[in-house]
Amino acid sequence: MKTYRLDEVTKRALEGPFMDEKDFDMKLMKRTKELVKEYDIRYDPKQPVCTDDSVADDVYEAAMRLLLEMGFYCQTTKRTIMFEEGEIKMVLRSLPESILLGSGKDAIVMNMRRVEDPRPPVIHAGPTGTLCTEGEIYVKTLRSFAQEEVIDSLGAGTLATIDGFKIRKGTPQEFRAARLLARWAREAISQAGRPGMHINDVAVVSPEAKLCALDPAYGLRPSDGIIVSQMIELKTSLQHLSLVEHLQSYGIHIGNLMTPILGGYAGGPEGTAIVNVAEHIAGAVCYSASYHYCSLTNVKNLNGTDRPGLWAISMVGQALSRNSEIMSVYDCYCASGPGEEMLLLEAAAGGVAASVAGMNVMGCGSCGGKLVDHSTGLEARMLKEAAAAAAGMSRADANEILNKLLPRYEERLDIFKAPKGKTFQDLYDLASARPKAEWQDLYDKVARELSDLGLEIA
Amino acid sequence: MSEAQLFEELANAVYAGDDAKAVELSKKILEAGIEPLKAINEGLMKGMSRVGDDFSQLKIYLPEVMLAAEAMKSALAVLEPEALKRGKATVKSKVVIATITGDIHDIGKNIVAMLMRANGFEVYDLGRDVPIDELIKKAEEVKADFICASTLLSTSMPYMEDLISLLKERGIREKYLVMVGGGPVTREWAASIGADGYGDDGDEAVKVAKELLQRRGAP
Repeated sequence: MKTYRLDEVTKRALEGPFMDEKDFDMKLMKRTKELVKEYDIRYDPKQPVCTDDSVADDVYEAAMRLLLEMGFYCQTTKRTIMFEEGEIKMVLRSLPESILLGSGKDAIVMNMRRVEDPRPPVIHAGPTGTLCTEGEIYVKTLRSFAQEEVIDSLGAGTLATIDGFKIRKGTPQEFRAARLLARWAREAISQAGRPGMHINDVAVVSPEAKLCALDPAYGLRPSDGIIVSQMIELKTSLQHLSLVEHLQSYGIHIGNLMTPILGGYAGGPEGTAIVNVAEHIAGAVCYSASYHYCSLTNVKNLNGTDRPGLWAISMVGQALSRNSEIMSVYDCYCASGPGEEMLLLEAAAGGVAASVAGMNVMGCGSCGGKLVDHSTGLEARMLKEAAAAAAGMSRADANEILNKLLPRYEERLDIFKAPKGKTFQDLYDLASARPKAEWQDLYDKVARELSDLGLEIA
Repeated sequence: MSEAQLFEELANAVYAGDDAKAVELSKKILEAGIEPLKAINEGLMKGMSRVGDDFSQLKIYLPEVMLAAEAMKSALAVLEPEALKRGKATVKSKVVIATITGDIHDIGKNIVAMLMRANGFEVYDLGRDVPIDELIKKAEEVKADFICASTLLSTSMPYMEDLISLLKERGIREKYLVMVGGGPVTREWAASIGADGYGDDGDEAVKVAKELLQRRGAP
């Protein structure tokens, strides 16, 4: 892309219809409710993954209508970026079916997957949204992901401090953190023997700070990625569009991060699915994103692994897989923590639901991102293995498995009651960044149990 | 319809987010000569309390809460002036709330503000990415009881510490009850920076605010 398109988007952000943000939220809320009713879209808790193709198509159609009617809200100008249907369709027709991530021997191909696709999903894995200790511990944490052979791309964690300074948005320390996060990610993949592995972000907040990570020698390269966020729901800003401008010129992949709130403005799982599909389309058009992170978050429990959450994300995946080339990545956000059987079960359930819905996966977030260093490579391995084992499975079979898995943890999903587990330092040998026996043994036990359910986990 | 039945109907209308019904019942209550303050407490508040309880268990979602809050606001517009005329209106505790510096995520803060308002607090919502001195300035201006700060970002949490430090520096820390919350904020961390209160969610934030007021012996 597509400087021309970004100019047009900016023009509309500056000249589109003015609307107070609260009015936009209220309009979105009411219109989404109406669309859910009009299309008669109903969440069925007995089917964590909806098996009716027509519902997925209805969700896609409703989402397109919602986006055309609401537009994409620019918080900076308080104006809505409006589109014509033909313009959107032209962009969607131009999307590739596969993309190359990373470089050299470590490059991987990420495909647009379809519903019940036999091809295993790609996993972007790292301490997603989790606070991490800076320096060597951070490198080792990332290495624990990078040296899992099944993991395809490395994600980023969030630092609380840099050189002992508490990191605040828009400060010199945030800019330094961006630079060092990129260097440490490079070091981690190098230590793991995968120097060309795709790195998908540096987790700093300011769009301008993210630019500090772009550095072909020591930081992020054009074969890597940077996440550009949307604000909740269906919103952007000129700062984020400006970040897109530079990322495009650098040639790096853009990840469109959405955090639809289940229970928020979009309402329940049905409305959340519609709004999130609209957010995917907006990200494809305005951000020219290579891939899209569906980081659905429950308004209370801060996770995306409960029954309505899995229904919503798998509906999003199916709607997009059946109707577009928009690559959606389920960002698996869990309530429990590492060292706990529950985290492995949450990851497995998320992997199964996303995989049969035609998504790729990312993860795992844990403990609602509240606890420092509660992230390890092993739960990400479970996410990938479960997703790969479910590749090619029918949605009906996936539901059988999910209906056995969910009762094992759903009563404990309350973020404040879910078992928090232990830190990376407690669960891993720090010299080798390999899991200690207690965590590995638990993984093996859960893997055997899942195999008995029909999921062949390595 | 008996007084109790009217209050029950009013609570139901608020719960259902039925603006028109809530207003109609409020007018009926006044026409029947029923004490408006009693209707506010035993009708509107009761309905909103059910909304809060059900939202905290996710039996309903934010759109239903917002519609209920709207219905309550419409009914209050009928009942409150009459209560004031009769000199029976309670003094509302005042809350200044914002998403703090560096953060533009405001859905959590909006939920807390809405639930506090629905529970009888007078809420001044300053929006998002609000500098701490603006929070304090507004609190001083309106003689607030509470300063509430929210964030979803760990990089904005230090500003919550700064808020408490600045209140201390200015010698006005004891004037305010400070509450903090949001995604990465924990109960333990809130206590460690010397905040007075913390809520896991909007419902708890309201409960904690009420407890803090009781402890303080405020209105």
